[in-house]
Amino acid sequence: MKKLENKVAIVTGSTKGIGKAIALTLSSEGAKVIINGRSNSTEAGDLVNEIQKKGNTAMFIRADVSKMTEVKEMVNQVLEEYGKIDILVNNAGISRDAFLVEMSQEDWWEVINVNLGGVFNCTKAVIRPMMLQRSGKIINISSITAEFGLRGQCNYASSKAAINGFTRSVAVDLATFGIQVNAVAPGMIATKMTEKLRKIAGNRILPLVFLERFGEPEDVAKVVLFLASDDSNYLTSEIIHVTGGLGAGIGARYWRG
Amino acid sequence: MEKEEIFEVVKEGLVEVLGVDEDNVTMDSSFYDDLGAESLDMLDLFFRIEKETNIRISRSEVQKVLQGDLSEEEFFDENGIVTPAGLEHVQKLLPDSNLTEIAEELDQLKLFSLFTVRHLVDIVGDKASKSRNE
Repeated sequence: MKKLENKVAIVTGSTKGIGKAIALTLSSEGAKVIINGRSNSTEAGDLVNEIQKKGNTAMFIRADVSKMTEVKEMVNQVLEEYGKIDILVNNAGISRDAFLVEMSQEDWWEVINVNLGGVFNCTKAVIRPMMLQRSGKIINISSITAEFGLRGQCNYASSKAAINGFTRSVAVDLATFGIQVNAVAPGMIATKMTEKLRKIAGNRILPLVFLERFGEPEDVAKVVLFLASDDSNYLTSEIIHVTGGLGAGIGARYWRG
Repeated sequence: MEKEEIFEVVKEGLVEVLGVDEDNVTMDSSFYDDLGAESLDMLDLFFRIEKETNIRISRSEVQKVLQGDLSEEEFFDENGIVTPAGLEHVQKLLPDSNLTEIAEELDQLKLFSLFTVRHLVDIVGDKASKSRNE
């Protein structure tokens, strides 16, 4: 039996990158997956087709997670279609890197509204049905930058650190109702979002990664699968670093004799 | 939905949430003093009631029943004690309690301790009959 048979999962921001890998991984374990993005795209349609071709179930719902009305419409549509929500993966996120002195207020708030506001909106919108059914898994995608400074990321790092606080706090509120809330904090993952950074600073960051490679979206997706499945039923309020060791010490290569 | 049925749902919920003996739950049990419920227990109880009856109750509704049409400022004075106007309203809700004796120390917590299973059953019953008539 597959690990997520008959489960319904919403993965926000899942038309590409880590979100896409999560959607593919959860669906391959039998979950009915809601693909979400803030605009209609060919990528979204292609992903739904790819999942359906493998005999699994998926649908695309357009919604901007920073807008509560759109999030509520998405959740209502899922409830009409499938009657329940078992798993929410809050993955949608953007970055607008700049030195603080040059960062506009718009860049600050847009990142906070999407990354942190989106987590609040989506979690709030799914929580009543989950509390009534007395089960649920909420997985927030954080970042290692919540723990360690990275140049030009004060907006992004703040949003991700706040997600960690949200995760720990909401985990307490919801434990009584059989709902587990955890976060995954990826390190340097080879996606479009990190493309520029890897090009500019990759050779300096890589020696800090114990496992001596950048992560693949699937490396994150497999941990999300664990948190979405019954294998993690005794786990809540946890922030799991998926970094290959980045940030866990002062690096692998520097100490070679 | 009859009051007896609602009482059974509330009782069963309280047994599950608080682990109390079902013989200890009566219409006159107060949630706070007699049963030892706290805010999260009440939230938990309300979701169990909604699951069984499809009737949604919120903690603010309970507060509203106690508070009536009075605003927060009209109901509590600056020290958080129920005002004379508030007291008059609460006394109507609780004809059997002699509130004048405890009026000077009747704050939100004490007020909540006067809230009994019967009050909750009434709230659920009222909502049930309203939704039936709609």
